[in-house]
Amino acid sequence: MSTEIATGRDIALIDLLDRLLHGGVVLAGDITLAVADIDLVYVGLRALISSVATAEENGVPLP
Amino acid sequence: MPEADDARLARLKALLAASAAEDAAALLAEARDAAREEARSILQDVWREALLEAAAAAVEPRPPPERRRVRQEEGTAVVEPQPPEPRSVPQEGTAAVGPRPTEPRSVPQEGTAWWAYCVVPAAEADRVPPNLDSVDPSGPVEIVTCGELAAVVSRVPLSEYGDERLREHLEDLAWVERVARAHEEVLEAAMSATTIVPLRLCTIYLSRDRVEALLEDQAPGLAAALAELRGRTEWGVKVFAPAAAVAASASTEVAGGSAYIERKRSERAAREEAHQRTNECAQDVHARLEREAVAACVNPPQRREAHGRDAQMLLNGSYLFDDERRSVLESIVEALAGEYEPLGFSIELTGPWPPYNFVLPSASALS
Repeated sequence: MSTEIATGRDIALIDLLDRLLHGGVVLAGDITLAVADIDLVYVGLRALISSVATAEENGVPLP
Repeated sequence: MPEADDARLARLKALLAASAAEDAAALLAEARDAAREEARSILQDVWREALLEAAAAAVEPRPPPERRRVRQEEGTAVVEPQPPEPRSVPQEGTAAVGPRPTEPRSVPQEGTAWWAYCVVPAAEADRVPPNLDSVDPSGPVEIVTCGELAAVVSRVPLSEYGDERLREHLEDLAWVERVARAHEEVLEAAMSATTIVPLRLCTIYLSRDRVEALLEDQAPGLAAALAELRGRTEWGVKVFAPAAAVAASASTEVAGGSAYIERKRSERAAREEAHQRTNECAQDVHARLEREAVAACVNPPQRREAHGRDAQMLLNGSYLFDDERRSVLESIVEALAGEYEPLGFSIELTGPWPPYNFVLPSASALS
């Protein structure tokens, strides 16, 4: 099973962030993310994805 | 103008007025019918969206606003570490990344802090591969041990990871992605070698002592979680609706009359049937996986603008499976795909994941 865990396997960022920002144990860190921080990341993510989608629809070549 | 002409004109005006009144009534009636039909069509669309949302949510009623981990069986790990002392309430305004000391203490903006990745059994900590890439080049991945437990950590500069700077970085998605992938890679390397309790992104301590104190304070919960998660792995299963089932039929209709109404009627029937099918598919997929899993958890479907695909996500499930039963999981997914993909659904298996969804964040345990 460990053979499956290839480093750099193609993980969608949204799947990763869903788990890293909502899952996992929240232990009493000296610095941790607040809900507002998590929302902030998602706002950025949605903006990015929708701008990519729009660019694709419009046939804009992506870098 | 002679008086007779005035009289004729007046009569003509009266006739026209009468006729116009009749026309106006007919016009109003037509407009009302058209508007009613249009409103009905809009309502149908809104209602259909709501039904689809409900169908997707039907597999698990989810209490807002906190995400909740649903444990299906007793005896599976739920880490509910209670902070040793009451948490400080995030300050208003600055809200975002709040320093989380137990007494008012400001996080210094320089010096070194410790980024924590996961907790592993101390006895197996040396299995964690050496030379892993850490989130920040300023320090390698290290192990901090305390009793039976060990934390996988690395040093980070407070000039970059202190609360103010960290908040700035969070607005930079490229930064977030880099850090998230680095965090994930350390977790995956560790979980390939031993059992881990994954920590949420950006769990940072001001000193090594603080990390040790944490391990000591939370020892019972963490040890129980490690015991329950041993030999088990999280997998994700997502189901997407067939494009036709959710295709917004917002085509601009020009045709009028009964043909239009007939078309709308048959569209509605098709949508009802599609809704029925999508609802059943999501529930069936979840039920069949849940039955075989150690534990299952349904997260809210990702929104279209977040997953970026031209299809509605119906199910966003996570399943904890015994590693030795991985082939069971794979054959269930294969069977489900064989049944539903010909109908246009798409079923996606992701993993293996660190068990992010099968450790309860203390934050929600407290709320």
